[in-house]
Amino acid sequence: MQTGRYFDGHLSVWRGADVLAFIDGLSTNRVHDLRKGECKQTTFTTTTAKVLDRVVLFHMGDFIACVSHAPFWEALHAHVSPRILGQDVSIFNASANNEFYIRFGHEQKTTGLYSTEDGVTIGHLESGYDLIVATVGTHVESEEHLDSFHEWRIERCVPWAGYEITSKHHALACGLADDIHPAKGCYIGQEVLTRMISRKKQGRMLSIVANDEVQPSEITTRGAARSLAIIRM
Amino acid sequence: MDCGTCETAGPIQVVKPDVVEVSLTISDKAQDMLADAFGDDRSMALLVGVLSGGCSGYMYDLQIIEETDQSCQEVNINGFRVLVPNASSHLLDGIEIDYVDRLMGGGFKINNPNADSSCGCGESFA
Repeated sequence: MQTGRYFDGHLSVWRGADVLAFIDGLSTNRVHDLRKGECKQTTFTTTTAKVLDRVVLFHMGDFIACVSHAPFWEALHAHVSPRILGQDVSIFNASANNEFYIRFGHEQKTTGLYSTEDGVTIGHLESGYDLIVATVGTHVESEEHLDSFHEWRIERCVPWAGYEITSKHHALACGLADDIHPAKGCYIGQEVLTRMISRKKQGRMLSIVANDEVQPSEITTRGAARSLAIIRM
Repeated sequence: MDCGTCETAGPIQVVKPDVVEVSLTISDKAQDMLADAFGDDRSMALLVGVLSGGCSGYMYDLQIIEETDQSCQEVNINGFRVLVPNASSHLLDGIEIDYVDRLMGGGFKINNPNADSSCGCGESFA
């Protein structure tokens, strides 16, 4: 088991009676029935199904904690903010109060749940790693980089923000099919994704490739021998 | 996790579009259907709102209500009270409420000059 510090994490706190329905209408996974103690990954997409960000939602009881990626926050905020309209949704920025870590390389017995102890919240994600959110000043044993995490990702074809998950690609091409709920109903980008799924035509897909197997420009995460690449199907 | 409640975390600035004084029309067919729905009780109102979501970004929300907590503009058209929430007024100015009489996909329809596109089912727009 290894733990690496993730410096680009962003934490926003979403409050209000309409929060889950609001997020449900804007992202790919079914989250309206998320309950206290549960965490879930979902992806915000544009009307053309291009990815704005993949986030992790923690249901903390009286609010939803949303861990996103700092470089994408401005675009995500610009997308979300004008759509609040008259709904009971308030968003607060709690990034400065927290640090973020990734724990990987261990057997996950449960996914979709989180635990909290002494200011450290550990979300067990379906992608096979844990996301740790720790109050600033709380000690978490970790390495200062995520190099070995990226090798771990390559072997398991796990996409990551800024590498595979970018606004250049739609959610299926990024390898985020697990975030796309097949029967949740309408959300922004749903028509495009549903059409690609039903026609079995998604253009590009995330794949594990040998380093010399594809053009360097197609590699999204380069490993020692193998890489991740988004290649044409 | 420190949620930064109240003191340390500031609210994120939310874009609040300007409130627009809404004008709208209701087609004759839609007025007939509303008359059927309302009956003689004209104390009820038709709320025409917008919610986020849908395939294209925004979804219409039509309800027959007595009153609402939302801050609304009231438009009276041939005795029908129509309420439009101020928060979504910029998206609804100039709309026509129509009624399409079809077995599939029929019902009230909004023709919206502010919409650049709409989804296949017609319930959402961008």
